[in-house]
Amino acid sequence: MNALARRFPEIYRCLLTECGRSRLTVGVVTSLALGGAFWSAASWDRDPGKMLFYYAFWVQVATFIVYGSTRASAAIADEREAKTWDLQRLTPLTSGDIAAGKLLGSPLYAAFLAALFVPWALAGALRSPEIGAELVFVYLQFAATAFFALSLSLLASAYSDLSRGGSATTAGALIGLGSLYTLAPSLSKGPLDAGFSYFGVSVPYLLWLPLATAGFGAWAFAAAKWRVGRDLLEPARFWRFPAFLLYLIAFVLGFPKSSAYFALLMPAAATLMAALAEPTKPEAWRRWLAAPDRRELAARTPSWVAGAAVCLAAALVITGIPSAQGLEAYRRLPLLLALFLIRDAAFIQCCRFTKSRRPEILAAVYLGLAYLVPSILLSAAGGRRLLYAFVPLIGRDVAAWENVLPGLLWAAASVTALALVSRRVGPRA
Amino acid sequence: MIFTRGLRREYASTTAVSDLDLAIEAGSVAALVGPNGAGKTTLLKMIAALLEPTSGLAMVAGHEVHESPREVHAAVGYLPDFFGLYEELTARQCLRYFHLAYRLPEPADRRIEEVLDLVALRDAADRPIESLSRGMRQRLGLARTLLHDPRLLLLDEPASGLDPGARRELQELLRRLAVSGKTIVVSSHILTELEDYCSHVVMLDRGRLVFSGTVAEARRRAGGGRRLRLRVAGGPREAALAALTADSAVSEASAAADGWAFRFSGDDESAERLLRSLVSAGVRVCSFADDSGSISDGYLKLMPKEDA
Repeated sequence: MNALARRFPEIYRCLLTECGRSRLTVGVVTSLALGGAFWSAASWDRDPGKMLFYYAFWVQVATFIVYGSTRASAAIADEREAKTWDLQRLTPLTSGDIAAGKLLGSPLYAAFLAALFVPWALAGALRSPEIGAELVFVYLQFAATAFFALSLSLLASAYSDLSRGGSATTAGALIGLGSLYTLAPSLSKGPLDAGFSYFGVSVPYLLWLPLATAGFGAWAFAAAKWRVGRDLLEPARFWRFPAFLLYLIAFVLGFPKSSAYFALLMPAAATLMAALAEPTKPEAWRRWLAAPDRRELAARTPSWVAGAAVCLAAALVITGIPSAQGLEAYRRLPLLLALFLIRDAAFIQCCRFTKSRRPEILAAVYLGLAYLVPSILLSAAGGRRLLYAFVPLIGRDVAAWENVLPGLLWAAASVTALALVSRRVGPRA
Repeated sequence: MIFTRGLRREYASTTAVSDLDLAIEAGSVAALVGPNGAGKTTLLKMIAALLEPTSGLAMVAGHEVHESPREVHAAVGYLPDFFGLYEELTARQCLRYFHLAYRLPEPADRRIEEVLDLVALRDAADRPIESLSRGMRQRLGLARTLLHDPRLLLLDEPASGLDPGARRELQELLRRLAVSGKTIVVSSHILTELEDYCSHVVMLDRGRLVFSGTVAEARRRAGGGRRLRLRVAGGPREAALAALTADSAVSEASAAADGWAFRFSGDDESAERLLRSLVSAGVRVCSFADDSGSISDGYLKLMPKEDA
């Protein structure tokens, strides 16, 4: 047994369960047959090397990134469903050990299949002068995309509960497919040689893209690790989610011509997703409010509350930045986003205090209606200019205070409703 | 070994464990009993540091569960009521995996053989887990629980779903573990099977502690005091009656065909003195034993009527 398997026992288990002799044999035979077929098919092309490379490369993508993501997304969900998760939680493995073990162990067979096609891809690349120069970059981006997709799938798995193991696997497949978008630029020749200005520094695009992808992969892995840590009763750290939001703001601001007024779009969306995904159940809510000291209060702060606080604070700061590029009307956008975020997230929390078995679905439906119904009705009645009163839109013909006031009232109403509902939530004596 | 004060766990609209004060000494074997929904599993999970208490204190093996959950995990061997095992692995591979996960010193084989022997599973060690019977899986679960040699065993309904033969094997195993000095908390509905090896009883009802004490105390409560039963194999019955009535600790003696049953207010030493006086009076004693009722009697007596 090698040192890696000793360090991460999950790898030992996955080697036994995923990589049996018959599976390995099937993989080898398939790769030989498929590789041979690719070779034969590519030989008809004008650039057979390039074709062979792309055939083999996309098989690697399909196996390691798409299939690997489905395996990673099942890694924790399956354990919960099979009731082995509690047994893992009792071992001295830390959240880092478990998360890294699952990230490395769950896609082992997918990695084996992808590795079988490396010789075919190399054979193609060596025959094609066009591919040769880009090989390093293409595989660098492949590795970054794989890390991102697998980490995100692991995160989806960490957030799955007993009844949703299947949906975690579906999420993994979607994540795997969706992440292919980050691969696309690496395969298009145009912008690769060009550098672009990021935070005023000229960065080669072929270096920036894998680094940015891996950066988001690292956040997804960290989030999965933190979620596992919560199951292990490891100490909570309230600053983690706000730190991610600040990273998002900084990430957006780094682009040339990016406006600070749009910097809250991604953090607000992330906070809303946290409000939907993070089940702050009544018991956890009560415990947070009844925290005995500040440290405990901070540690138990629900992610969406911390996220909304960060968004509001950032909005107040950004709104103070003088407008440029003729975007005066957009100056109020961050504040609108923050206020409507508070409205929606507080409403989602209210839904968690109902008896619904799927409060997040209930909340998502109501929120969908909250955005759609005013849009449809006001459009039909010819009152589209009043839409800013119901959704975070800039009313160009209205004063700033008039634009912000509805959001403020919505947020105040939602928070008041949450305060009232949370007072009524209590266990039977 | 276990100490709780004001331990409480709430769920959305129910309180599973309510302000529980409990103490279980090291080396004792405690039966955790109560009707369905009494909070037994929630309590065990909190003690195992798998579930965070809503409030209150729980100390396990000198560690507070909220402050040091990982230290608690190291000290505890917890067998849940429903648990899974890695079906594709063999029993030996499964134990090898947990040996790695528990970061136990190498070589692993010796320790794995030890626990396989302890649970009498060596013959099936190389069979895939999916082919094992329910009893074997339960024993494998117990082997996994014992692998890191924990001081405290928390067993949640270990005999649930087992046939009589498998239950008997499990009972034997728990008896051996009790003799080896481990502190054991075992929850079960089959109270008669707990009697042989349990020293203490903890009774819960709707999250509240109904009774906590020794088995003898539970029996006494059930019977309104300690009762003894004397069986004789012949000889002068008058001599036996005289010896009984001469002892101030004896009362309410009632004759039976083969002896007497009576209430006894003395301790074990006075019981031993009474037995000696009976023998020296020429009574041919063939049994002299507690007749205070069973844990089941205690359970029925102590539990609120609507749930008993």
